[in-house]
Amino acid sequence: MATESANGVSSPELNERDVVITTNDNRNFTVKIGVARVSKTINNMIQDLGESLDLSSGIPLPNVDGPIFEKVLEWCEEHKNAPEIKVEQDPHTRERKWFTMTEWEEEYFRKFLSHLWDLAMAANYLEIPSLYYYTCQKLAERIKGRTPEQIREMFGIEDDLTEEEKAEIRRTNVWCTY
Amino acid sequence: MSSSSRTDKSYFKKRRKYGIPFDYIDYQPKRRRCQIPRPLNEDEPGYSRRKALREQYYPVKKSKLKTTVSSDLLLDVLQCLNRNEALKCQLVSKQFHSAIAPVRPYLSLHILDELAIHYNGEIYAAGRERSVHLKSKHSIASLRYCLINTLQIDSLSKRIFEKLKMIKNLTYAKLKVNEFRVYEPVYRLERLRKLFEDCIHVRRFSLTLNDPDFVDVITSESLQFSTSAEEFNLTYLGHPNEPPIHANVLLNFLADSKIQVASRKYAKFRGLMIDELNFCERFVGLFENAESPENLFQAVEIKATRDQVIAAEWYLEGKFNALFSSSVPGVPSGYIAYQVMRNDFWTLRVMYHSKLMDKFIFSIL
Repeated sequence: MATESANGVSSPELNERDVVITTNDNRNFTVKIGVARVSKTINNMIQDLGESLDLSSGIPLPNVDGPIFEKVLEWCEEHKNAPEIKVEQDPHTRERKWFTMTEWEEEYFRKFLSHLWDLAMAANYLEIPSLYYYTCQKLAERIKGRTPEQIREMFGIEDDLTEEEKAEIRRTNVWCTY
Repeated sequence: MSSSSRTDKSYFKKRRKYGIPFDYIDYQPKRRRCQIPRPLNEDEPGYSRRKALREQYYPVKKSKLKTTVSSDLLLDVLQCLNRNEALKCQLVSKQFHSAIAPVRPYLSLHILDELAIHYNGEIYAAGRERSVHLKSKHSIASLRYCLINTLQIDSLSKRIFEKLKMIKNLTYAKLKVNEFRVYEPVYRLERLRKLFEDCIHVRRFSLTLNDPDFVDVITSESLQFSTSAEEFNLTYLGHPNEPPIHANVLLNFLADSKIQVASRKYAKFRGLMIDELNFCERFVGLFENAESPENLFQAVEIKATRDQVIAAEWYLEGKFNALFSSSVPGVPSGYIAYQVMRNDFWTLRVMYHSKLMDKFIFSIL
């Protein structure tokens, strides 16, 4: 059992210690607490558990599977000391302003292009704003300029709308060009 | 602690509230089994023939996409796109359609280049990719989620006024407009006040007057109201043969604090002659003695004679707190500029062309 008090949880020595995180496929990941804390969900767990935190038995993550968590950890390792991102939107059109990504981030998303939805959902559950909003932007980038057919093909979605339903959607969206 | 109390989210809620440590190892989210209801027979209570027919002819099938995309996640993705791109995704699948439908009000606004309301009450909208004649109530209601770059109306006739009120009733919101242009004779300008209060939220309000009785507009109270507009541009396109206007009348109008906008007021008078040789001196005097210079028009462009410019030059050269500043940023090439600073650091810049000497440009910095 960890001996640090709840106040001592944020100490730099504790950040260097390892914690075991168990994903829903029962894979155990040994991670530095400082890296794991990029996730607000895990950080809250560590803070809530305080003195009763058992570093060896692990923190369970029932909503994330191993392969995705591995990719998330890669992001956390790179962003452990990064400042909080600021989400801005155009005050008149309400369209979100796009982030400028570093080369590492571009390469990261290029590597995991086929897992963007899973990454976004994991980042949402783990409360990692930088990964979540950057993944959302990457998904938007992939959708932009593509037809519904191309989007379906890209994400492997089946076309289950009837022609009547499609016609109704087209009718209700007066300004859209399809 | 009973194991059943750990199977729902209230377990965390209660523990966080009373500061009891969590036991994450035993936490299992509650599983709910979805039951598909059995179709009812005709003789059973609750049977609906209409529903039965609908299910028979238009059976609703579930999407076969394995991953369930939540509305929140989809909204965060779609907020990075313009409205057209975002709504297009409704055609991808049933799952996308049902996830997008509830978040439509939160998507970005569609940008319309122009909305024109004709004298006969017909409404035409020009988008970036297509133009639409808005006839149905549904299409007019869709203006709720549009940002209109330019709203142009020919006049404030009763019919157009009623049409704008009808749009408001269908959209349940003020029209969001970047620039609102009105070309209007004097006697209907009082309707503008009502329009700004009820129907339109505008960023730049441009009023162009070419009526011979311009003096009636600037002396009447028709323009004395406040709007949430960031800018007010008044343009006068008069005929050179019009009789000159008295300087006092114009100066009173330019200093009128009852014409209120959120930030700046501009005025451009073309073809308007002033009957005062020392108009520049009078304007500088107005600025120096104004109680609150923020109520003045921040930029005024006005036609001038050669004699008026020469008189201004003599006056400004001899004025002790007027600084010759032609080479500072913001002064166009070929223009001569003087800056007059008040004790409270408000500054007025007076500019005129060194060769043409045909107009004054006053701007408050």
